[in-house]
Amino acid sequence: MAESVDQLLARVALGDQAAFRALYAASAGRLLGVAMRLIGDKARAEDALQESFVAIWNQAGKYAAHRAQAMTWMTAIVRNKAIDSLRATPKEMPLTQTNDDGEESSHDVADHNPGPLQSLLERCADERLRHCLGHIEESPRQALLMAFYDGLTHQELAERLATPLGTIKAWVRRGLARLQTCLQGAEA
Amino acid sequence: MNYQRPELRDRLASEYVLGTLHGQARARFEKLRRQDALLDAAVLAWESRLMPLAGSVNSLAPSPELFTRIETRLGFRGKPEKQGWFAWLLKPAVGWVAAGLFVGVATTRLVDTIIPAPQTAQVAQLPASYVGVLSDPQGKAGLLVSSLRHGRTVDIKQLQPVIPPAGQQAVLWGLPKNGSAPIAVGTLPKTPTGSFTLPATSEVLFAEVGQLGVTYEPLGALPTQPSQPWAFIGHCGKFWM
Repeated sequence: MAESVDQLLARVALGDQAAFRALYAASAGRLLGVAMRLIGDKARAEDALQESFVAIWNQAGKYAAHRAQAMTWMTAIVRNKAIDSLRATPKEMPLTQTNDDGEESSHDVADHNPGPLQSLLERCADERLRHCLGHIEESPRQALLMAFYDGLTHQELAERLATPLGTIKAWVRRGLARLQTCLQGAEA
Repeated sequence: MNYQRPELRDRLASEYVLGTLHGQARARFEKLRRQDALLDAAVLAWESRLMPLAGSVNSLAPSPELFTRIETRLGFRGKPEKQGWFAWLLKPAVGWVAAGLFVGVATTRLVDTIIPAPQTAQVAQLPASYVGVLSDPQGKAGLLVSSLRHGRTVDIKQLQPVIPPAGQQAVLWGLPKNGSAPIAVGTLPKTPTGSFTLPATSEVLFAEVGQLGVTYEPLGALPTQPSQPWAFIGHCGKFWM
């Protein structure tokens, strides 16, 4: 019987290279999808995945100590590496930019059709999370999903959604607080 | 900012995991997180909450050479495996301690025969210790346990993952040679290698012990007798001549 990702990662924590190969085979496709969604460029997404697997090997012992779900732990590593890459080189031009002569130019607001994000949420296998996000008002929910799936900062969300920065921060803060309350209620 | 306020820590952790913190705030948060176990715990809790969202993103096959790049980066290519010698040494797990002691004695005698005495002294350097190799119910090697004869620390190395079910801890027991009830020695560390302090010296605790065992017991004070079947069990030997 094939070993689960949790079992493989536990063996990786003991320095087992064969388990590391099996772990990569079992998870790299999903994890590269996560990096690609954030970065939007396959070569850079693969660089982020490479850095992630180096970190997974080096930090697997630490994972063993806190016993998170292996896929949760690895996905968080990949998202962090991808966000670092994204912050170093954003995938799209900002809404306005200033050139060397001090002239400000503007770009069109990026397409933020809620359809694809909503369908990603609907495909989420975690029913509680889907339910709780579904109960957040549409605009804060949209901001949370864009932040999660597209890796946008508050400022970038404000530009994409053509909404004041203060409002965006309040949406994100309130959205996360409501999500936490709902998820904790479901746990109780 | 006062990071000691629980609601602020939680909010920053949630925004860090969501990804909305910008460059400097993100770097500052990561530095704080490394020094602050509570902040780290808040991050882990938010990762558990939010990461399932990533499961609905389409998979993408990596380029075939990517894993080779990773292995090269980690120095695997052209080098022996990290635990290669260990895996080889431990294949016949049951009775390994006896075999190891035999090999130790035989090697020392052989060395005595063929190498002059001054060099022999350099070969036999292992300090007097109690050593156990514990196997799972299938006979596969599970744990190495060792403790200096007059020390008060037990060192543990997991040879396969030791994962107690939720709400339970892995408890190490000494099984006296005379068949009397097992004695709880302590709780195993959660890490692949680690140690814990003994209530008395090894010599006091293990001198009359023939076997060591591990059971998974409810969290809390050590039980007075095992309530569960052996998750791991094996012989305990005295590693001195």
